[in-house]
Amino acid sequence: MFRFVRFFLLTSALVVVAIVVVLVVHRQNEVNRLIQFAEHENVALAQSLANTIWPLFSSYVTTASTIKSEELRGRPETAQIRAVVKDVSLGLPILKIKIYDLNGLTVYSSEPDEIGENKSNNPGHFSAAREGKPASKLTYRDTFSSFEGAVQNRDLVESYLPIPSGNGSAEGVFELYTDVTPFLDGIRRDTFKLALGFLTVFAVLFSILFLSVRRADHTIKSQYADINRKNVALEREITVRQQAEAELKHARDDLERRVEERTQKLTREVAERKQAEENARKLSRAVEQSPAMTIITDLSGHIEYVNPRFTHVTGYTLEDVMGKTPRILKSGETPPEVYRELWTTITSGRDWQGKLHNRKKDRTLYWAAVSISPITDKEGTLTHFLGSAEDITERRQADDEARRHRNELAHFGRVSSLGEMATSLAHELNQPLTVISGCAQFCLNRLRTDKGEPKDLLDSLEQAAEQAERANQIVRRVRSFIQKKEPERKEIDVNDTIRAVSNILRSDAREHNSDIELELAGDLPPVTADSIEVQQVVVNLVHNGVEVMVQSVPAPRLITIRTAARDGTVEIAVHNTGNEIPAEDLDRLFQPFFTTKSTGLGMGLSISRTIVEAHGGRLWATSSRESGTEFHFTLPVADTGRQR
Amino acid sequence: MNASEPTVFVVDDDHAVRRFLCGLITSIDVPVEAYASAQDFLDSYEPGRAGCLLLDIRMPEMSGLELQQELDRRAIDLPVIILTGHGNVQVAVNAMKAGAVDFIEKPFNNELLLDRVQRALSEGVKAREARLGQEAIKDRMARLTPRERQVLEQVIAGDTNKGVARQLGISEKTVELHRSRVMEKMQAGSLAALVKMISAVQAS
Repeated sequence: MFRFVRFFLLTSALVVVAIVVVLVVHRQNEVNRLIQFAEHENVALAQSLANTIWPLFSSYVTTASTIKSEELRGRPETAQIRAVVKDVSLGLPILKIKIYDLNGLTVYSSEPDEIGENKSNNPGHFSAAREGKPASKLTYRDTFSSFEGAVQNRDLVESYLPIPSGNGSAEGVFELYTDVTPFLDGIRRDTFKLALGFLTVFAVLFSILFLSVRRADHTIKSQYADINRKNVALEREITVRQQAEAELKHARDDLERRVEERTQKLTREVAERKQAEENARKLSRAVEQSPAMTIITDLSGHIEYVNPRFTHVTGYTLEDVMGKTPRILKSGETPPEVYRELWTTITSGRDWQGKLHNRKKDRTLYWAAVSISPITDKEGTLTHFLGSAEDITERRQADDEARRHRNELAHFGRVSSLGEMATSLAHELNQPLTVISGCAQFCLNRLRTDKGEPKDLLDSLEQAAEQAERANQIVRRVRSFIQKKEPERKEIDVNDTIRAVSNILRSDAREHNSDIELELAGDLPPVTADSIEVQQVVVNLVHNGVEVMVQSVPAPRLITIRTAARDGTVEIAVHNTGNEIPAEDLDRLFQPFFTTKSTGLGMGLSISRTIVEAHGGRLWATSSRESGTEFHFTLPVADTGRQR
Repeated sequence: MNASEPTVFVVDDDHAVRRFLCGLITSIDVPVEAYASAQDFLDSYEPGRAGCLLLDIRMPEMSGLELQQELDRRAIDLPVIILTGHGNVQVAVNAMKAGAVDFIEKPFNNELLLDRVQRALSEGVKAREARLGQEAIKDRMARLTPRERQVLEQVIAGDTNKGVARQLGISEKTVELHRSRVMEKMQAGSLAALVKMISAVQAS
């Protein structure tokens, strides 16, 4: 901002300086003029003195240099000069007059003490005067001795004036002191008045201007501050307005978004509701059309709904059974504990699944696979039971049929593998028979020749009896192996089962110059299986292994049977040292009629796999050149075995 | 038990049969040793022991036939009687071809078995003696000088002393001298005995 006051003060100071300068110059001019005026007067006076005195005393003056100064003061001429001078200067402001010769010797002075002094050492003004030119200067004396005695505080004009001769050159020099104090005082007064006037006018003007300038400055300042304030306010307002706009926009966006969301949600809700309705419709239709019998009862078992399939299967319509309980379907064939377990399960809120042997309206029996689920409301309270049942009579019949086929096939497999092993079995029987026969002959011979000591006979007869029992066991095993009976699943010890069949296996192995080693794990959990069928699988695997070895490797040939508990199963491994089976054949081995042997039907492994899988196990083969071929099968550990 | 006495070596992996055979053979006062496998027998047999082998042809590890081959390889000269299950003709034929002296079907007649065993033992003795005789003849032949051997060959071929002398380019007298030395060294009483000796050695 422009600083008016400062600028004004600066200007004013310059003006004051200018006034002071003007006043000083003015005074100097006045003084100079005064000096000129005084000098002019002095010149005129000197002229008149010269005119008066000089003709009388010029010779005195010119000779005065030869007179001693003390004598000069006493000379009569001095008194004469004084009288003349006093006379001439009467009425004039001349305070002192001196006369010098050209050498500067003070020939006369109105102050007698000064006569005889030499002024030649004051060359300035004196020299100018000796050359014919008057010279003056203003001096100030505190005390000055004049004609009238001593005066004080005087401004004096001191003039050196040449005393002209007839030829124009100076003959001597006058020195006059003129008192100009009153003039100088006047000049001073004038100057003072002038200054006072100037200053007064200036002060008045300055005051007025200063006031107005200060006021103006104040106004400008306040306006400037005002503008600034307004600007700030304006800016603030702009910011506030922008914020407001942003908030407005935000609010608008938010609103739009919420509207959008709400719309979507509504759309979704509508769609969901539609979907739910559709689902309910579909579900209801599904229940109506379901190939499963559907029954809904209340908590006490009173039927509220049955679907058409129920009617179709049982012959009971909805009207027939409404309000009754499913007990009307009871045939008496299902054990009562099944029903007890059913009720315990569903009333505790869990699902029950099982098979019931029921009776239709026409009194015929049917099998139903039933699944009953409790229905709860939102709070989790039981409200209904939903029963879903399937008529599995035909399926059971088919299953029975399949099982019968499988059993027949298994039996066929056993008979056929025994057939393949007939020679070795015959041989196996032959061993005890040989001993029995030999012992009998021995005894007979002894008895006939009367050499028979009872002690000798006893040993032979014991041997015979032992071997008869051995033969008996073989026959029993063979018979049980090939007997045709429904498989009976019970908990068995796999090791016992393998030991029981090992005689048959050994005879078969021996027939082919092979040996069998059992490596049975010590503590096997029991499995649920049919013992004969497990034997059959082992026999098949061993017989197979023996034949493979006979075809591919020289004696000694070894079959190893191992058992081990593994991951909830018992694994039985039958290892042979025969040639490697190509990987592509490993699985084909188990296909019916696949065989690498020259004898046999190729059914053994296929039947074995069927048997193992029917037991919930797995049968597979591994083979490598280094370790030979190994058949493995697993049987699930019985429930009691798992708990062990 | 006298090691030089002919012994029946029973090899059968069936304990009951083994036990019975031992009892039966012991009852006729013939030494018997029983083994559960061919390998057991081979491991404990001392070379030079006399007797016969009663062998079940059907055994794990090493079969009867393989044992026979192994006996040949080891130059063990024991008569072998094979025991077979009945009706296994092909096995019996193979056994005979491999050098078995006999085969018997199980179950067998005790007398028949003992008879065969004894026959095998005596045949074994005879064969053993014959083999020893041949070895003696071979020993004697080994002591002949080359010239004596030449003379022997010519004489056996039926040449006369004169013929021999002409063939070998020596005098008849010298031939006669050699001839008498040969007869002496070979311990032959007559030319016929000498011919019989040589032909027995050559036939083996």
